[in-house]
Amino acid sequence: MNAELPRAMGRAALGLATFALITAGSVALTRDLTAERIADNRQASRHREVAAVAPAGHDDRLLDHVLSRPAAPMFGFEAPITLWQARAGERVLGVVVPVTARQGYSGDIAMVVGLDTAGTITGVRVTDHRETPGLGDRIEARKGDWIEQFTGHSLTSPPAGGWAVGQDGGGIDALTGATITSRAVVAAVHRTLEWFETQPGSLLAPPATGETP
Amino acid sequence: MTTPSLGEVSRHGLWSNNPALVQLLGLCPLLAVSSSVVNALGLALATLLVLLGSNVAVSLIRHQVSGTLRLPAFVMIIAAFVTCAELLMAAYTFELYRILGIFIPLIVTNCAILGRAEAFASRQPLLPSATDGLMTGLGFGAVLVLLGGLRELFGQGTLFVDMDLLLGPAAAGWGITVFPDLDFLFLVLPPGAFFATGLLIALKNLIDDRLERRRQARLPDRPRETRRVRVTGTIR
Repeated sequence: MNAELPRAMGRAALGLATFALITAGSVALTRDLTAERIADNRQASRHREVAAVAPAGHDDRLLDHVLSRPAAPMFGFEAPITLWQARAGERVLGVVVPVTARQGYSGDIAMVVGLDTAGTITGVRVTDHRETPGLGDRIEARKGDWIEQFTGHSLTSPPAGGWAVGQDGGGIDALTGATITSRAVVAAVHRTLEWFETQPGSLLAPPATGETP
Repeated sequence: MTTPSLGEVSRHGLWSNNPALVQLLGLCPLLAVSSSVVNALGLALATLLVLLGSNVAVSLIRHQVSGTLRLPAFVMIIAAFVTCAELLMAAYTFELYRILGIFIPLIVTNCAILGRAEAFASRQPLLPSATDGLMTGLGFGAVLVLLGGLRELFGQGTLFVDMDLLLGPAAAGWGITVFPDLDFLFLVLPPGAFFATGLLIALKNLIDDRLERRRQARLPDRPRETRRVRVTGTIR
């Protein structure tokens, strides 16, 4: 065996290790310098989304009032639910629920749905999706007002059977050329309302004593 | 390998050896992200940053790394730069970072970057390498932005919409609607990107052709070439 070979291999390994250290170090440094800002960005972006659908008059500390509920696969919640309470002081004005519509045209559609104490929708926003640009992406609030039409409706308005797009005999207009996308959003909003009904009062309970307001 | 002049390097990167139109490298992000000017510009800047950084780094270490270590070392350098660029975009242009999503980490797979590192920066001093990275990045970015503009204008009828995601609130009012109610879905979707790229390549070839012909015409009358039979090459 060539006596040079082990030494060459050792040199190569050492060189590569040095490189890995330097590059990984620079990535770690950048991450360290940006981590706080990125976390702030995420939080601020989340807050904007939640605030856009929350009942009016809240104390603007939506993300501080977190509730947890177990998963409810029947209503489309595959994972435990983490939702936000909209409060004004001790008074609970409603909740904002993160919802995932799983029957989108291309993958999941992430949304937030705001509900007041009576179970009336105070707003719906799509937060993440991969629907077709120009067709399905008009579910975004900044590309069209389609998503606004849910505001003010509840489980009983439109009445039974009405919670479907027109093509399915329901009372909600689908986006032109994006029936599947519209259907997925409508179904997910409807299921959220049904789930809300199964949570009598507990979602709207005022903050427990001892908790900082 | 001799060191080419900076002008020559620039001309290569921007035009005659343009990564997108001539080398046809990095087409995946080019086609996927060029649906609007703001997306295109965002990816163009990120790619430019990575290309410049990796070319400089590779050029600096070109005497230290031997043959066997070269490629893994380059890949590590590029991966590190891309990750840093991704973190910086998440920190400073968060909304755009969310829109570009998977295409930022995928800059790693843009062969134009490894290509320039291997073909140029690993053999050339710092200044030409930096120029090459900058110019190749600008060449790629120019095509990306042009394509983004074409697709946004003729696909959605708008131009420069949402520029504030990248350039801050000052750019919020830049969006203009050129053709209201235009919805030419074909251009918005990936097939339209292929067609538009093809048209841009054809346009570049046309311009090259014209330039060449004009150059020929400007040459003083040469003695007429004697016709001879050639067995190789093209007969002009």
